[in-house]
Amino acid sequence: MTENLKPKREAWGTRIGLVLAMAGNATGLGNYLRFPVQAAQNGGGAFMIPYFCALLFLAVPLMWCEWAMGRMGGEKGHGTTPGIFPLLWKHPLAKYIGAIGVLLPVAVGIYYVYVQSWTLAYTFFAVLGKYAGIASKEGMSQFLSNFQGVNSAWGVSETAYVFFLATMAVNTIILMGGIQKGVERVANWGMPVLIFLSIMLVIRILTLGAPDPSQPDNNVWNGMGFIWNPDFSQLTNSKVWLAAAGQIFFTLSVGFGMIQVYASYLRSKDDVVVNGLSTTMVNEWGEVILGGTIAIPIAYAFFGPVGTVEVAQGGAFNLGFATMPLVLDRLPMSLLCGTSWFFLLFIAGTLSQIALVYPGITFLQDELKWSRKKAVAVISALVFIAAHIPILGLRNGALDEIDFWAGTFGVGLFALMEVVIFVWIFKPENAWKEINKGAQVNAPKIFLWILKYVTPVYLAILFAAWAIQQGPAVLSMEGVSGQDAAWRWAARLLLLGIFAVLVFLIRRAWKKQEVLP
Amino acid sequence: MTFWGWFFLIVSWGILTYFTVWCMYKILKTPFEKEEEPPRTA
Repeated sequence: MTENLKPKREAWGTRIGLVLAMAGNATGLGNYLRFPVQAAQNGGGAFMIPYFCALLFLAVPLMWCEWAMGRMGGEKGHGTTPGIFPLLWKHPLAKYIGAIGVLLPVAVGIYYVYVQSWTLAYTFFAVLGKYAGIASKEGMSQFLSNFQGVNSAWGVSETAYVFFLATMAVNTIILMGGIQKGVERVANWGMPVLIFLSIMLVIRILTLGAPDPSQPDNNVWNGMGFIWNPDFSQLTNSKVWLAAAGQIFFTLSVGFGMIQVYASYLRSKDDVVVNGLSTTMVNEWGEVILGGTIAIPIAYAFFGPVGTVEVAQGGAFNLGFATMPLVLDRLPMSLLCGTSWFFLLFIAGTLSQIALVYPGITFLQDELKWSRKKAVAVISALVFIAAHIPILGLRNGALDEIDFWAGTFGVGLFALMEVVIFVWIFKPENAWKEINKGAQVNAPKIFLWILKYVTPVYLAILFAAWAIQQGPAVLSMEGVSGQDAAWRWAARLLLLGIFAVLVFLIRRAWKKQEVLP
Repeated sequence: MTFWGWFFLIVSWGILTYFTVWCMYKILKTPFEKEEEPPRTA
């Protein structure tokens, strides 16, 4: 088949649409919930020193690598890493290693869709005043448990299941639209709405002062101090550096194989340096300035320093779904504030979820030559069926199990593989040329040195630390009961099953194509 | 908030806002070219 007879791949309609979609891919619940908790727990303002180091030495170079890989693959008709890696490394194993770049995002998407559905449900609860009148954190935690149905016979409530179905339907409709009419269109209105709602909440919170006049020290600005006042002694603690690198890693969605997919819809001479930096900066601006100013400062104003420590230790979900509705319900215009909070989380979750499942769709389209509708239908069906493991096994830790293997261990390993393949096997000079091809502004030359030495070492340390700190306990299921172990094994088998199917499909596709090793 | 708290807040917000505005300026100044490219492989 000649080049000109092959069907044309989709492309982004506008540059701003691409940047908003990529930024929407990265902007998720982590920006609003995980970042403030991490900053508050790891040295406050001093946390920003390792955070910016990780941004500069880890995230920005890795982001450029993934964008360049994606554009390069797209030129040859391959939008996912099983097709991209063999272009960089002429080895039969390359395409199978690339399968991890489809497995990881789809696996995370399998549980993330359920969390996304909670944000949709809570948007309705805020509008209908369902949690209005609940006056304590314990009461709100109970409301969350009842909604999830973790204590019911099936482990899921009817309400939670209905919202899960509704969320699946919304996602499938968006995905059916493809890149321009689906992803780009939703990002074009979703990101501005998300930023507008966030700024509105930030203004409301910063002008709140002290809600209880009898406790003037419990005010928003002391809450800002809770996040920003530095504890310099924490800088000598290796855990703080790891936490900062981990946060940068998760928030930018690098190491999943997702960025390559969106970048593969670029035209061959489109810039990746400024585009990549733009999506990084939009995400970081949203995380540090908007995310850092909403949840923790308002929690401090209502619960004081001791209560905020408890909130931060309770984790991101507790902060988002138990603490935030409680405090927003006490504000004037509580209905508007509560609805804005959960709707902005729903937008962030939707844009991330679409990006998470898109690698699966692009893989089927590019490598198996399926139509978009068929690919979307199959991937949506897979996510729908597989999501029943984290949904029904939520109380038994099935969601946490997938999150560890795909969202922590997997991304650390895959990011390291990506850098080694793109920079060292493909050769540093080729990688650098590819990054700067068509660049609006060339990447500073120092980043070539950073890419060759600093980023791989940084990634190796990060991966080793995660594997050593958490790996043995998760692998041996330390302290896990019999019933929980069964659900955790179901989650592991699910991941292995998806990987096996991917390997089979890649083998079949390459046999048919017989163009790549 | 302490002096160092304000310091970290202002420096962080300043750096991020500067680079975000710079990037958005570059993006909006140079949109994608409209001309058709030859069809790519799929």
